[in-house]
Amino acid sequence: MKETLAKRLVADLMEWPVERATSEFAWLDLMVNCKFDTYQQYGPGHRFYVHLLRWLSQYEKADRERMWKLLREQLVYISQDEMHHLVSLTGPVIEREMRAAVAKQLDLPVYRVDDDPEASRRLAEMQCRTLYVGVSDGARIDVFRRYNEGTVNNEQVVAMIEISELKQAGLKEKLKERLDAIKSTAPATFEWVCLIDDFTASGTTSIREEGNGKWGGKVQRFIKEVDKTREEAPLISDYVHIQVHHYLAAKAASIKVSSLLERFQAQSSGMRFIPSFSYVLPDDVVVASATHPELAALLERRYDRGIETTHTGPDIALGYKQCGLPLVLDHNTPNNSVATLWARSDPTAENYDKDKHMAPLFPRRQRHSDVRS
Amino acid sequence: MNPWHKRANEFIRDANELLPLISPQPIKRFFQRESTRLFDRLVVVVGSPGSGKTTLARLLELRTLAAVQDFKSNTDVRELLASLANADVLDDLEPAVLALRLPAGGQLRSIWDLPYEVRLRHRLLRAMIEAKTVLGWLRAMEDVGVDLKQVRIITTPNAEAARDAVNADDLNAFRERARMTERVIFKLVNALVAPAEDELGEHLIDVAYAPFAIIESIEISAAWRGRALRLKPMVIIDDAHELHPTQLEDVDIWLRDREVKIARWMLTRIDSLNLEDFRRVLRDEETISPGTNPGRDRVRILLQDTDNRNRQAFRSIAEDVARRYLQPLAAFHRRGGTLSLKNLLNTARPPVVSDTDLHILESENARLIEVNQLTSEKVQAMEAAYPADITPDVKAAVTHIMLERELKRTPQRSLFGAPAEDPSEEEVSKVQRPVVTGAELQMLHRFDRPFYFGFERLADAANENIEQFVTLASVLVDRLETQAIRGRPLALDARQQHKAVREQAMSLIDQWDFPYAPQVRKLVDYIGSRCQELTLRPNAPLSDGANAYGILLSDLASLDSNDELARVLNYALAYQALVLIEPYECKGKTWALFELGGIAIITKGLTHSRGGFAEGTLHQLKASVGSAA
Repeated sequence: MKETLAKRLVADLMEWPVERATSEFAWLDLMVNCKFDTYQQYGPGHRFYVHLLRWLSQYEKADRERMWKLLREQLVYISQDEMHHLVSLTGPVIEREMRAAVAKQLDLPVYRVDDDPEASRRLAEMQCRTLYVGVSDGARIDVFRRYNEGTVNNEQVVAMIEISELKQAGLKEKLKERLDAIKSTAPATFEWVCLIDDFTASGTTSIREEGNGKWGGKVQRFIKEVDKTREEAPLISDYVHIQVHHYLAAKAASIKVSSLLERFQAQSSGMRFIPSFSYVLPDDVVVASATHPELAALLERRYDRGIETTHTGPDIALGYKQCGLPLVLDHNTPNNSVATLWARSDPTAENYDKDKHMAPLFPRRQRHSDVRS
Repeated sequence: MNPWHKRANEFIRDANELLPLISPQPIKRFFQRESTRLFDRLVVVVGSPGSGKTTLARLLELRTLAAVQDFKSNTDVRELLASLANADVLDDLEPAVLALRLPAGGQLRSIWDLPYEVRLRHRLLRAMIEAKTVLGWLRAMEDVGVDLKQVRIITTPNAEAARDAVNADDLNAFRERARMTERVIFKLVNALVAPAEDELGEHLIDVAYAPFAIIESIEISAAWRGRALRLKPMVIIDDAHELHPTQLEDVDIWLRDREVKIARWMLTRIDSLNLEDFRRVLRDEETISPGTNPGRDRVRILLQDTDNRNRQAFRSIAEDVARRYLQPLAAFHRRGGTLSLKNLLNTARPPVVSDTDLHILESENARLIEVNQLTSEKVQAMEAAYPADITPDVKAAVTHIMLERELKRTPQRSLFGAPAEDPSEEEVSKVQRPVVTGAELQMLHRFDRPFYFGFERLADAANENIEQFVTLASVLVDRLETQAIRGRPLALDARQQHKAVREQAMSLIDQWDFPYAPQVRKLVDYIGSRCQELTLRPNAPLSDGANAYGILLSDLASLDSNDELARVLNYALAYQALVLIEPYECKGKTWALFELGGIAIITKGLTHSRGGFAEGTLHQLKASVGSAA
């Protein structure tokens, strides 16, 4: 769709006077060109303006202004460049934790680590004995590696949790070579593991309690995986630090992850768990009935139950687990975001409500296909 | 690319895009003014930000001049090329000048901070300017595809030793020599701790570098453009006010020397002059003062007009600029034809106040007619003398003013019934246009009736500064673009124009961040309120009111240039918050008028016409900015 035509239609739909239209066009020009049009789930010839028009027009005239406000004032859109920036912040965050750990081991203040020869040697050894694991595609482990060229070796990075025995042997062999190069006598096992993921909104993907003292999530899966070789050829040391790092997290999720890791640590002998984040979204961005009653009510009113799946569960007008995020990531929109941003109604769905048909602004590509019959 | 966005010209790298955007009239006026003296002595071009200094420098760069061949049949650019040819910048559409624009900030300014005695620092600065210029010339030629093997440096006769010293016979060695000088000074400037003066020793040999004194011209063989070209080398020191004042003074003395053979210009903001010097430039004293003739060695050109006569000329420049700037905007393309901002804005019909407001005015007039004891024939005769094209509300407001005047004029009636003179004998004189403007301004303040609409008032608000015009007009163009996008008629009514321009003017004043800006705002507020009071007097004694503050010239002469008010005034004038008009003869006295700048006039709701002023003293001005009176 031609930009000029699209802008005209948007302005007519919103019934803006000339002054308002002028300022909104300036904002649209900036945001569409810098961010929205690069959303990776748009198809050819089917970019932001087409979705915007369909999205706005599904609402009653009286409600459109409120929805425009959601887009204009509340939406948080993380572009690819911004996500890469969060990736670039990861290296320093990890290093800071390592310095703190070294300082604690040697009973020094953190600022003395560079100054003290033993501490410096220990820090270099720790960096050498660190394994970086990407726990999902979103971890952009390739980008992480390039940002940390010279600090992080290619042979310290793996792209998935499941590490075959052959791969583990290879990692240990290369680790031995690196330790020899710095004249270290430390065993060829990793003493620091970074489990890296892009985003957490509910805080349960990394670690969760499944009842009866059982734990689930990616941290648990990783430990289970490396436990397989623990007796004969251990990959990690007994007193390993496991740093669970997210590039981005909702405030509530960051608190939850930290508290769950603390409890998990209490049950795991020797291991120490460290949560860390490149950026935590503040609580005031969250859309909730208490903070945004008018918007929350509108989203509930215009909610089609037909979009629910076995994976999302019921009542997701405010997003999966009612996280209420107004968030879009450049590569996909999280299902924890308010459903109006990402959900597309399926007329063949069991609970489809024609009067509440939902057309998304930033369509989401579902990770799980529904198994419901 | 939207040229209406502020300072866009600086972001246009491609000469082919730049040339069609430059309006020829200001360039023509600039070159006509001092046509014979621009390239043989020091030229100091003084102007406010946005007055076109950098555009002028960009125009003279070799890459711009080398591109003019592509435009020889372009009617939009033809006039500009003619001006350049008349000024000998072009020779048969080929470059005749090799100019380098050298920004004065950064490294040049840093030389002043070196721990050496003043004379040595000046020496280093001169050498650095010469080295950078030589390197810039060579780079400029290479950028347009000149092979340096085809270049010859022409030096003054009888200067063999000096020619050898700069290696003028071998272009590679010539460049290497300049590089060496630049490198040495660069190291000194960037050293964490600069070497002590007595340790400089052999470094100073490399610093002894003076090509400006011998280079007369630069010759490029026919291999480049089909015929041999002889270029006049030139340096343009841009933003010279960024140098330390002592540096600036030394560079000024050095470049005034007739031994320097190249063309040299310094572009500077008015900030670099103090109030006294600025007033001297305004009075053009350098060229006309008897006895001495500094104009022989240096020409100072002020890139802003203080002359009322040129208002019409600026309107046509603004019209031309607007036409050029509208062309690249895609949203207007579908409309076809050539769009004129003037026509688009002037289609707005004059606004009319509401019936209620009109009724208020008419009731007041009825009361005044009764007090004045005027017959309806007399009132009709008075109204017949108004310009024919005014709306009923303006007519009522003008009548209101005329009746108030009548009230002032009517002698007090005697208690004892002596007959008053029969007023019917008085001749009814034509009501002049300024009274109509005054009536409109009074309605602006009383009834919020739009006043600042139409192209002429927009252009008048720009203080003959193109950037100011573009900044003010951009809000209207943005709205017109919105109309074009929405497929609606390309028109803005008077209220829309007035509102947009006033909001823009207020936001521009809020954005002032130059030195003493808070005091300048206070000064503008004070002058504005004094002028408003005069403008809003019911009998409109100055017709369209005042927009200036007048103090006696002798009073201004007593202002010490170190006084805070002098500095406040200096920056107010430099950034066109105020415009100084002196000497101004009125009521048998000689005045200096501080006229509000166009933007301030809009925010205060005053007339753009020159002449009306509120009388005051220096003492009151000092009090208004809060400095010790």
